[in-house]
Amino acid sequence: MTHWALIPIQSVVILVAVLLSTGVLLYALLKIHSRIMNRVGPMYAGRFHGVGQPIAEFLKPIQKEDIVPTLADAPVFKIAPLIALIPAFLVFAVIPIAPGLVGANIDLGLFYVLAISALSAIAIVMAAYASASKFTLVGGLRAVGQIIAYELPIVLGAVTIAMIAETLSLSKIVDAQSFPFVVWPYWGPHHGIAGWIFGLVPWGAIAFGMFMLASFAEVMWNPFDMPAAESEIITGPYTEYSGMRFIFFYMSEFAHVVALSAIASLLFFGGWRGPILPPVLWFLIKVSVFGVFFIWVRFTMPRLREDQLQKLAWKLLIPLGLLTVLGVAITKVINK
Amino acid sequence: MTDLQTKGYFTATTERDISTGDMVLNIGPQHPSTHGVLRVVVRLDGERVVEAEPVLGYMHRAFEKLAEQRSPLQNTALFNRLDWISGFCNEVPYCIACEKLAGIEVPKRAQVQRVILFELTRLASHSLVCGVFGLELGALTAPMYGYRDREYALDLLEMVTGQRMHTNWSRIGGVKEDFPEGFYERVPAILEYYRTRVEQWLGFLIDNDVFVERTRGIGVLPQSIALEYGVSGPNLRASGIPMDARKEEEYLGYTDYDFDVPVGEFGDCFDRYVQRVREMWESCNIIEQALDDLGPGPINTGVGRTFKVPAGEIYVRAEGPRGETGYYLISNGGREPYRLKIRTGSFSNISVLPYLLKGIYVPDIVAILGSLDFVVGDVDR
Repeated sequence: MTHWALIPIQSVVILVAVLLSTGVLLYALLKIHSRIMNRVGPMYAGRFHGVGQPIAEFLKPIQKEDIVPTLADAPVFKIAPLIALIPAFLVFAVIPIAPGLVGANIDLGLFYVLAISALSAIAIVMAAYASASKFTLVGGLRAVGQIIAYELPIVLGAVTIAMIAETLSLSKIVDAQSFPFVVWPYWGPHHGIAGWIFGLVPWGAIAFGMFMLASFAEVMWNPFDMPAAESEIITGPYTEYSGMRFIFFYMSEFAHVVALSAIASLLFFGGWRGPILPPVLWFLIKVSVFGVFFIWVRFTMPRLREDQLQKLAWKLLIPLGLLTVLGVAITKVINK
Repeated sequence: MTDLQTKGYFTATTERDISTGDMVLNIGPQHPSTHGVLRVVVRLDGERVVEAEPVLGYMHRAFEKLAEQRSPLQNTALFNRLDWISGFCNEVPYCIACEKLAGIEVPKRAQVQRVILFELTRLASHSLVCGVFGLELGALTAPMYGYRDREYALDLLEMVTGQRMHTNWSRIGGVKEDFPEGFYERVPAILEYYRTRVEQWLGFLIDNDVFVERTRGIGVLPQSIALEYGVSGPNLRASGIPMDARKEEEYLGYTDYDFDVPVGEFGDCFDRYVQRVREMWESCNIIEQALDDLGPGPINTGVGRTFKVPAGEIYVRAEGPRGETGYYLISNGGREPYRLKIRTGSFSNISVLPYLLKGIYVPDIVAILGSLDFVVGDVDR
């Protein structure tokens, strides 16, 4: 148990970590997508290659008027951005950065992460519903459908790993990955032909693919950014928001991307494990690679249609996820 | 919203009953997906469009009436603003109309120069559209490539005319000035660049499964419907009808050049996109031949500023990047036209929207709008 006096310090550290990581991700996004688009991106704020741009992006909306539409349900409208932001921060509390370096080392870490990150759906529904605008309504309905459809593949992908590692604690999942990279199905002794057959199927890799695909839908980035599809429904649920409240949604989205990158590297790529370099550095490198991957895909893919996304989730990813869970279970039983 | 008064204006809508009937959604006139101020009123059942109706006129600038007060020189400057993406393509047909009425024989060199600028404008326009169509589908990088590519053609236009978009270069009886020094040296490299771009556009989006999924079979425009609504240009050819005013009409000597009229197969959004990419290739061919064709000679017949168009009526059509551009000119012998009717590609092309938008999903609205490639200035005039 952590000493009670340490709790405020830990909270502040986590808060700073969240703000810092979202800022870094925002700067990376601005620079990398500019490179993809054949531009230079921000160059002036902060003097050196626009390093101050994330701060500027954050500070400018503070000066803006906070507009609440006349017909909006004002209390719900005002509280929705906070409800989006808080879970994104809470997720960071249980993410281990290095052995022992974690805000709260709870045994149900994985469960907690999945449960908390799904809360953002509620904020989006609240925003969409309270704005009293048709565009937000369409966007909100899309977002709900999408999050319900894609929470399952994420959970199934995570469950696969939990079954392989036989624990829900994030630190112990990392410890269970003796092989430094993707958790292969079964790294222990194999019994009989069936044991080898099931044991050689890369269940972990399948789960990883599912998890990544569903992550894009979860954070609503291309190719799954339909809820906030700018060319169709303006910015979906966020259409009526302005100033700081809009930035809260924006920040929660970025924090979500960082959190999912961290979870993906913890579950599938051995977290802080790696040769030579210190654990914290390894973890940061892995998270950065995932962050860059998210940005890269976002700015190279067109957007799918909502019905195509649902088809992909319910007809492909979820059956595949269930099969993976079944396969891992059989492997575990045979090779016991 | 009928009980707005009874319950008081300041009651939140969310506290009242929500009916599950059709929802009328106003897309535009201010909306990020419509290029300019097109308004589409759609009736939605969930995400499915029950009915859609384009509402025009938010950018009506009374060009046909304005033209009646202006001399040909002023009119060409005006018509640049019709379809601002391809300004030069709008001024040339008007000059041709005046020349035909006056019986002026335009020197060969001027004709060829007009062809070169015309096709460069088409290259610029199609590059932009290919990119912007990506944006409609959510590919955020594509428009940047489109804008970049367009700039090479616009550079050439700027070199000749001093303007990127609103060239105002065509005169009655020719063009304003000869090509500047160094122009001929620059063109081949830029044509070569556009050829590589054609391959890029084909690979960049067509090889992308998401793109194909979003455009194949969406917004299919059958040949009979296309002809009924007067659709023209790349949209009509994408439906498989090889109609091209450059092949059918005797103007600018287009019939002397050897180029293909590519046609599509199904007439869906995908075909309309590919159609434009293929036409860029053909434009490169035309410019290459025109450069070889460019012999010495005068570039203008020296018609003065006070030139009066003889009395008469004439209709001239030309193949603009967005379809057939036509000018029906009635002159009573004065400098200004007595009456001028402008037929633009965009207007006829979007008249088919109510047919295309029926029974599709909301995201496909923007895909179809983007693939039809209209400019609101060209629609409303």
